Amino acid sequence: MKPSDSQMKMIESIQALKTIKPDGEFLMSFRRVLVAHMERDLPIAGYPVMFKFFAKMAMTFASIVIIIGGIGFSVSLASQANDPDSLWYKIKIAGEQIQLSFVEHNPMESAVLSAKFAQNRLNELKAIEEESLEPAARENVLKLYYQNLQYLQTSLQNITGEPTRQALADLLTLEEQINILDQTIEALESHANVPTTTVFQAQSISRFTKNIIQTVSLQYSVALNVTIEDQYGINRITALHGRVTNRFTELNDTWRPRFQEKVQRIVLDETLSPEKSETYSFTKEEENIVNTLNKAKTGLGEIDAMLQNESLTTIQIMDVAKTLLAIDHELATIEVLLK
Amino acid sequence: MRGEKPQKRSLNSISWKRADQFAGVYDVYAKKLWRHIYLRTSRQEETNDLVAEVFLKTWEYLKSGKSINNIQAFLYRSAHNSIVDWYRSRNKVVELQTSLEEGEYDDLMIQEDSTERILLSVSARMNVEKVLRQIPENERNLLIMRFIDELEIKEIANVLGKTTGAVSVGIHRALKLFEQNLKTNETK
Repeated sequence: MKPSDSQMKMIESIQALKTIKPDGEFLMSFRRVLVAHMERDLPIAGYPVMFKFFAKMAMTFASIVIIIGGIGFSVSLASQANDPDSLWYKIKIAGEQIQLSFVEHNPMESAVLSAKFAQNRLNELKAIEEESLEPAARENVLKLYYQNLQYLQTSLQNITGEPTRQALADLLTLEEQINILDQTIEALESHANVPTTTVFQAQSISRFTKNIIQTVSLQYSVALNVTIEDQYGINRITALHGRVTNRFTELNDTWRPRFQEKVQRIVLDETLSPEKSETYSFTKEEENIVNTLNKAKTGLGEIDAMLQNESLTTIQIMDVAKTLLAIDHELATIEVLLK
Repeated sequence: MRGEKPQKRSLNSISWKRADQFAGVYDVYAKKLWRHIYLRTSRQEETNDLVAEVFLKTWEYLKSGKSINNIQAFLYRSAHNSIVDWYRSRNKVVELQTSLEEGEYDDLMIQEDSTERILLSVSARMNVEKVLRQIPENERNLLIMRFIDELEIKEIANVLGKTTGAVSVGIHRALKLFEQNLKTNETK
């Protein structure tokens, strides 16, 4: 339908909003952040190899520590603890790698330890500003901070076995550790010398890590029937709802073109040979996909409506969490089928 | 040069194997997405945060080994979901007029033009923007996607998970609503 003249004028007036110019300074600075983020991630594919390399390095440096400690030089080296270029700093990092290698078999302990080391990195960033070290030192520490949190994330993904109350308690402790990381980042933000990009990078990785911890702890809470209350619980569920909705949309988009193609084929076949119409139908697998997607869509819509309600009871919050996790689980099942 | 294609075309799909091209994706879409999100949230700071979130989430998606067949649709869909979350997290019902204080435009520069035309266009734009904010979020989104982001009906349908028919009808209805509000504002 061709728009009328008055509609054309309206459309032109709306199109005039294209003259709004984005925040160029932000877009440029964020581009730098993104590129730095990419550079860090791209070579990470071989993390286990890197880990082995670090472990070897760690053993070497550990030997140096013992020797140096033996001849009484450790006090003067302590002042270099925050300078990534110093020998003492390298020894400190190597020591951390050794500690991680000791708990490699226990993902939860690895995660807790990684969070602790990430906190060390942030403390070092603060110290770097106070000691006015080179900007390169800041970048090096930030890289290690990323590695700490990435190792934490990998550890969480490796947690297996039935949820236990102890594991849930550990997860909540871990979340608390990440909250402390956030507070340290906020303190860094107020430090005039720390660039916004550094703060932003640190914030973004801790946010992703927290998302993972919250999802896992929510799963544990539901599995163990441990009630989650208050706004804190709702915020976590809202975040999870967003992630499950994204998963649903992606699957729906993957499935829809295939579904349409099949429907067209069935209609065509039925038209050409109506006597065989009963033979043209969806497979059980396809029916499963359709049913799951429909169910997920309805469920997510209902949860969306429930989350608009500010006065949810604890039981309702738990129900929402359970339903969300169930939807997520079902979506994961059809994700395998669709691949 | 052999095999050289327009930048946008070559970035239609992306996977972790080609992840080094992600900066190019940012260059093509960052400004458009910023404008899109800003028109839907009216808050410059939040727009910056949401743009960052969209690109970082997309990067994480690629990092998990998944590939994206239509990067434009993916980014807009991700932006749409982030905006919905943003509204929900702040318990925001679409605000009517309240955000349209003159001060908010101080940071929003417009493209190079003569002074007189700038003044005129700022005034006209403020009015259009004001009217746009008065119509419901869903309809506003359709107008922004169609006439500012210049997405095809098919692309909007893809982003929003609707049929092309529903999108066309929605745009038609949104234009009517826009017209009604424009007239109401003129008579005030």
